[in-house]
Amino acid sequence: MRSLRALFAALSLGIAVMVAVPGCSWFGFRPDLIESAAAVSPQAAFDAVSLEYGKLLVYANAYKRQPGSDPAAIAAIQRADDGVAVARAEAQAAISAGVPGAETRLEIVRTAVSVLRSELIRYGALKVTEGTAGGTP
Amino acid sequence: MAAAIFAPAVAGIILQLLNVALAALEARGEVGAGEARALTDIVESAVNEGRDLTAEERARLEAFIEAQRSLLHA
Repeated sequence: MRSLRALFAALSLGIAVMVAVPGCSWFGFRPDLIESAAAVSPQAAFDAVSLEYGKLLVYANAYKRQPGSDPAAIAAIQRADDGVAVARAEAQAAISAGVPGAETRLEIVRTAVSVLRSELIRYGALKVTEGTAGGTP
Repeated sequence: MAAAIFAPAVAGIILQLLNVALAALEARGEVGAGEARALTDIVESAVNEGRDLTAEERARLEAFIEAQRSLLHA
């Protein structure tokens, strides 16, 4: 019974920590995946960048749902997101067509994602250490 | 003896509590986090295997992004 009580206490503590720390162990940003994917193909690199972009959107939506979030900040984040969407569409079209310059389009996507990340950091939706190499929310 | 009888019941209750806690976290603002984690595993596996995502995997990634964008712009 003693070991059972210890097990229950340990699990309860684990749950308490998870509830108390928002974002604890949710997912990590993986810029290393983008570098590895670039060695596979432009499409693989594009998908890896898209994954990181999707993770940033999770943070953007978490911020949007926060009570008292700034509408002007949300508008700025939305504008940055629109920039990523346009860049992604153009890059995917270039990669699918196999035309030269796909890498350049991919760099434009990465830059647009960086702008979105900067906006999230500016408005407190993302910590500086998150979304960068080794950053784990 | 009592521990052997009640342990499965206690374990079941603990698992239910864990599920409730996770659901609460998901509702509190981390919607999409589970899918992001799953997609990370998918992309990492593909990269490790030196291949592109399959059409199905890419569709799942795009659906995730579109769902998040819809929430952001709603």
